[in-house]
Amino acid sequence: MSSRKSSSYSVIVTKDASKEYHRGREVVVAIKNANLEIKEGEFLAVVGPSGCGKTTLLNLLSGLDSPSSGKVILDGIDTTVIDERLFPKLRREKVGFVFQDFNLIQDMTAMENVMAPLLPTDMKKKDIEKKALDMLRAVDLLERKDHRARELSGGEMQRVAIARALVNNPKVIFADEPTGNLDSKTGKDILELLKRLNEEQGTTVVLVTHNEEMKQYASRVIRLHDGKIEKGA
Amino acid sequence: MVKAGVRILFKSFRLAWRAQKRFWAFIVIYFILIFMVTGLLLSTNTLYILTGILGGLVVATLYGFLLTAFRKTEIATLKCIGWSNSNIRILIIGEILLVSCLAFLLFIEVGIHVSGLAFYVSGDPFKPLFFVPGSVQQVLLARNMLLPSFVTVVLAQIPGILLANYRILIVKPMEALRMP
Repeated sequence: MSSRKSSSYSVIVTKDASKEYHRGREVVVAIKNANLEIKEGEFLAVVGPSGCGKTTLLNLLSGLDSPSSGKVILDGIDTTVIDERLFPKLRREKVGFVFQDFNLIQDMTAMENVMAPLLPTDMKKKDIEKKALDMLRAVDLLERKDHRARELSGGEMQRVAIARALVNNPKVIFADEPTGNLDSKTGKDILELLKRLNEEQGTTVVLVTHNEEMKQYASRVIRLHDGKIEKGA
Repeated sequence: MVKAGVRILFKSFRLAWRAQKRFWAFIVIYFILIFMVTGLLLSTNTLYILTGILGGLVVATLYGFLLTAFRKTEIATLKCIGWSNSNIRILIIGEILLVSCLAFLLFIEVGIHVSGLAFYVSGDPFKPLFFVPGSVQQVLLARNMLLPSFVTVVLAQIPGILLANYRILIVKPMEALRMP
């Protein structure tokens, strides 16, 4: 097993990124002037209490949402200026997501869920299947490949979600409270799996959580408080 | 990208088939709709014909709405994993297409069986069977109305497809990250 360290290349850079929402006449500042550099191969944990802006920050870092001001650069691409039509390709090639609720397509099998990100590409079906099988093997779920999502346990669903997030060899995996709906033992297994994949494959992981115990898996921790990254992070 | 589109279309057929309850419920609804439209097109009354078209519009629009409402989180998730709006559109339209075509084939199939049974019983495929009301049999065997009723039902899909398309466009990928 080869372990990789984070490189000096910054895969995500934010420059004074802020996000404001309008709630009636009131302006809610969800993220205030976030300046952040995430190195390739890092395992970054974003921690903070509920409502501090963690998911909003994740939305900005992953290009799911645009900042109200400032810049977010994802693998050299400024997400605030690129054409809207290029976002699907950006998401397909640069990022993978692991959700709290797993978000598998219930009528698809584990194998089909893992194949899903590659279906809109021009890759041959045989190659897509091979990649999906490799990923299912990596998360130890090969024997469950033909089971529908609804037939899997929570831990298995999350492992399928991780395989799906990795199948396109993304630069960064964003995990939003990935253990929130799992028991503590399964949650620990999932975090160890993410850590192993981070070390073996060098994929950058951005983990968002309110659970302070999870920071032990991260190579760096940043703390959010009322939408601001605390100093010393 | 054509290859990808075809692949997604076939995937949509498979997924529609697996959504058992919704799939069969709407095949039955579309069957009734095709029956109704054919019956109303047989009449020369413009009001009846308009009623048939309106019924088609209502059912197809409801189906388009339900398909996208059921699958809102799914649509957001697919956007997160790199599917474009047009990829998702193929997935949704594929199901609508499959359901309406299968309902139409079922309508033809039932007509063939009824006429076969009538021929077996009386030697005349168009002679009313004692257990099928005359007007029902007349509608099922209205071969000259098959194409117009199919075209009417297909045209009635357009607002439903447009509604589904609009609802696909307004779903933001970040909705997948929120608690349902």
